[in-house]
Amino acid sequence: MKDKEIFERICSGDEKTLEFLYKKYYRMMTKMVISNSGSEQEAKDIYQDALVVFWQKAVSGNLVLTSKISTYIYSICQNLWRKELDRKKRLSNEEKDSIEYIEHDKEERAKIINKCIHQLGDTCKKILMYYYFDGMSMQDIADDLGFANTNTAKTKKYKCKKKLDELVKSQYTESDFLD
Amino acid sequence: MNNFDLIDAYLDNDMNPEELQRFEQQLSSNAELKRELGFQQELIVGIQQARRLELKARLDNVAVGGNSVGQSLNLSKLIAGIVILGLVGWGIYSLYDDETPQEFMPVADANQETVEELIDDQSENVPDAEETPSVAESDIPKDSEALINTEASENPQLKSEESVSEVREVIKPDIKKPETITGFDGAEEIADSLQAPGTIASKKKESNLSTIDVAIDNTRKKYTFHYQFKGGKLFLYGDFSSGLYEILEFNPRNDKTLFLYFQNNYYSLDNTQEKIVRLESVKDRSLIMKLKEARGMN
Repeated sequence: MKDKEIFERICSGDEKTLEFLYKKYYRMMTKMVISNSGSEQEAKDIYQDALVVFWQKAVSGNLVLTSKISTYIYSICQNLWRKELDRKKRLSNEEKDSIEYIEHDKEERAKIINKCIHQLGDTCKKILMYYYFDGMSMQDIADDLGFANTNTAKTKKYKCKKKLDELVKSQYTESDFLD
Repeated sequence: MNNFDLIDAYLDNDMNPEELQRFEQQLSSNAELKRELGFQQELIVGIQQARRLELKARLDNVAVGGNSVGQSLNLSKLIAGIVILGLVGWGIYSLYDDETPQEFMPVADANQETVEELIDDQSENVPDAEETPSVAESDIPKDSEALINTEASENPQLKSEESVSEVREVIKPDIKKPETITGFDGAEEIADSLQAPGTIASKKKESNLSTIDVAIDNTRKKYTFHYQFKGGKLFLYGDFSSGLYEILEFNPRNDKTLFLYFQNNYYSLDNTQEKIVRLESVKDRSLIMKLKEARGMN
C-alpha cells in the first residue's frame, strides 16, 4: 500500500489501516527511542502515542501531508520522546512531589470519567469519541453510525453527553471534580 | 436554556457573537456556571482520553512480527540454539538408524525403486529433515566429539576414530532406509489403486513439503520478494499473504535442492545463500513440468 492510499484510508477513519501502519514502522520508530536511552516498553508507548496523534489529525481533516508518512510520524515520536525525557528530568528534581500529586489527581479524575464512559452504550460511546476526539463532522458520524441525518446525530450526541454528565454526577460527589 | 445547554453550545462553538458575549459576561459573574464549565471541559478531556486508550489498546493487540525477537536474540543464544538443534538432530538421526536394519531387509520392490528415484529420498527423511543435511554433515563430527568425550570418560577404551567410523556407518544404511518406509506406505497405496509411481511420489512430497523452518518478514521495505537462509531457516521477505506458498525439497540428505511455489510460479532456493537475494523464478519448462508433477498438478 502506498502512502497516498494509507493516508486516504486513515482520513476516512479506517482503523485497520492504522494497525497496518503500526506494524509497518514498528521497528523503525521504536529503534529511535531505544537507541536514545529508552526501554522497549517506552518505545512502544511513544510510538503508539505518535500514531494516535497522527490519527487524530488525519481523521479530523486537520492534516495536509507534505512529507512521507514515516517522516511525519518519526518527527512526532522524536518530539514526544524529547518531552518525556524532559519530564523525567524534572521529576528527578525537587519539584517531583508536587507535580506527582497534581498528575495523580488528574489521572484519578480521568479514571472516574473513563469508568462512566464505559457504562454508556456502544453507540453513545462512539458518538462522543468520534465527535470530541476524532473531530468528525456530524455528517460523517451520521454516515458511520447509520443515522438518518445530521440532526439525528446531533440530538443523539446531546443526549449521550447529558447522560454521561448525569452518570458521573450521580456516582461521584461534585467535590471529586470541582474542588 | 439551562446551564448544561449553554455550556454545551459554548463548547461546540454553536453560539452567535451576541450569545457568546452574553455567556462570557455571565461566566465572569456566575461562579456556579464557571464551575459547571470546568466540569464539562473535564468530561470532554475524559472522553478524549478514553478514545486514546481505546486506540492504543487496539494497537497493542497487533502482532508486530519477529522484530522484538530479533532485537533480543544475541549471537551467543543463536549459537547455543544451533548447537542444541544439532545435538537433538543427531540423536534422532542415530535413533532412527537403529531401527532400519530390521526393516529395510524384506522390502525391495521394483515399483518402489522408481518411486524412490522420483522422490529422491523425500519421504523417509522427515526426522533428518528436521535437521538440515548441512547440520548432519558438518555438525555431526563436532557433536559426536562431544558425545565421544562423555562416552570416553565412561568407557576409556572407546577412541574417537572408532566413533567417527560409527558415524559413517550410521549414514550408510540410511541410504536404504527410505525404501522401507516408501515400500510400506507405497504398498498400501498401490493396493488401493493403480496409480502411477509418479502420483504416489507426489503424494509423498505433499506430506513432506514443509520440513524447512520458514519465517516471513514483510517489514523490510527494501526487500519485497527476497529470501535468505540463516541458521538453516528460510526467511522470506515481502508480502506473501496474497496466496499460499509451498516449499519443495528434493534430495534432503545429500545436495538438498529446494524450490518455492508461490502464485503459480516456482522459484529456486539455494540453501547456502546467506545473503538476502531476490527470488528468481524457474524458466526451464521441463523443470517446471517435473515440479508440477512432483506437486501432483498433472
